Amino acid sequence: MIEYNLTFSRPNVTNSYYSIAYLALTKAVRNRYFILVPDELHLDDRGNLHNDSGPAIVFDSFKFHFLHGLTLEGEDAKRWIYRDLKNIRPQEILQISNVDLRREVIRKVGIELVLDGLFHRVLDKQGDYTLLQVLLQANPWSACNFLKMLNPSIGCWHMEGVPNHLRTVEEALLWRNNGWFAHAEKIT
Amino acid sequence: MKELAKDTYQQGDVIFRRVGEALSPGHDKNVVARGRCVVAEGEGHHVHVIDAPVESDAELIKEGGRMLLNLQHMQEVQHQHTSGGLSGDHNTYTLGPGLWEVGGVREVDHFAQLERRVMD
Repeated sequence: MIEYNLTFSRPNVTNSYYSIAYLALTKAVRNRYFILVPDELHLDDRGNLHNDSGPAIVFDSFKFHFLHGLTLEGEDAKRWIYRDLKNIRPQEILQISNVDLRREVIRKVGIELVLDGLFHRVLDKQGDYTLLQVLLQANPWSACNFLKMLNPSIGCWHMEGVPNHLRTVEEALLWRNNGWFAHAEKIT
Repeated sequence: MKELAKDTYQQGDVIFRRVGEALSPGHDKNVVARGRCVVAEGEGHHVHVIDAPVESDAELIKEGGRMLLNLQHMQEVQHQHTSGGLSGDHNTYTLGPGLWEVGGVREVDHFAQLERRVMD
C-alpha cells in the first residue's frame, strides 16, 4: 500500500525500515503498513543510508543526509558533506564531540592525511591500537594523548582522547573501559 | 558450535562484564525493561539492543548507578547494534546466560578539558 500526502520529517524517515523487497522505506502506523517510495536513495554495502556528496534519501523536495546510517542535519550536513575537506585542519576533526561523526569525517579525509597534518609521535602500538601524543597547537604544552583504533566491524579508524599520563595501549584501553578490562573476549 | 561471550564483551561504546550467575534471592530490583531491551541509545541514529523475545525473562535492572542485565534464564541472547531496522556500525554477537553489568566507554575531550562518556 502506498500512502500519499504524508509529511516527511526526520522522525518519519529514521523511524522507518528500509525494505529490500520493496526497495523503499516501510512504516507501520496505527496497524496500517505504509510504503514510502523515495525519489532518490543511496545505501552503503551494509544497507545503511549513505551518501558522501549529497542527500542519501530524497522525497519530493525533502532531502535527508546520512553517512553510513548517521543522520546529519542543518549545519552538520553543510559542513561535513558539501564542504571540501581537502584543507581542513585535523584539530577541527578531533574537536567533533560525537565520535561517530568524528569517525566518518576521518574516513572521508583519510586517516593518513589526518595524521600527516598533526605533529605527533607514537607512544605505543599494539595490533590495531596506537597510542599517540599529538601537539594540538605549536607549543609542547599542548601535547595530548589520543588512542587511534580500528572498528573491527566496518574497518574505519577512530581517534579518541585519553589522559596524558598514560604511556601504553594497555593502560589506555583499561582507562577507556572504566577499569573493567583492557581487552574484551570479543569486540565488534 | 556458536561462539558466545562468557565473561566480557564490547560493542563499540558499550561494554559488558559478567558479574555472576543470578541475582540473589529477595533482591529488591528496579526493572527498567523486559524482553527486548535497549541497553544504550546513541544521539541520533542507532541503539544497542538485547534481542530477547518480548515474553522472555531477560531484564534490564537499574541498581544505584549501575545497569544490570539479567539473562539467568536465557540460553543465549543476541546483542545488536541497529539503526531504524538496518545494521549499525557494529556486528551482532551473542551473550551467554548470567548476570551482566552494562557500561559505557569514556574519553577525554582535550579541547574542553573534561572527561565524559563517549557520545555517538
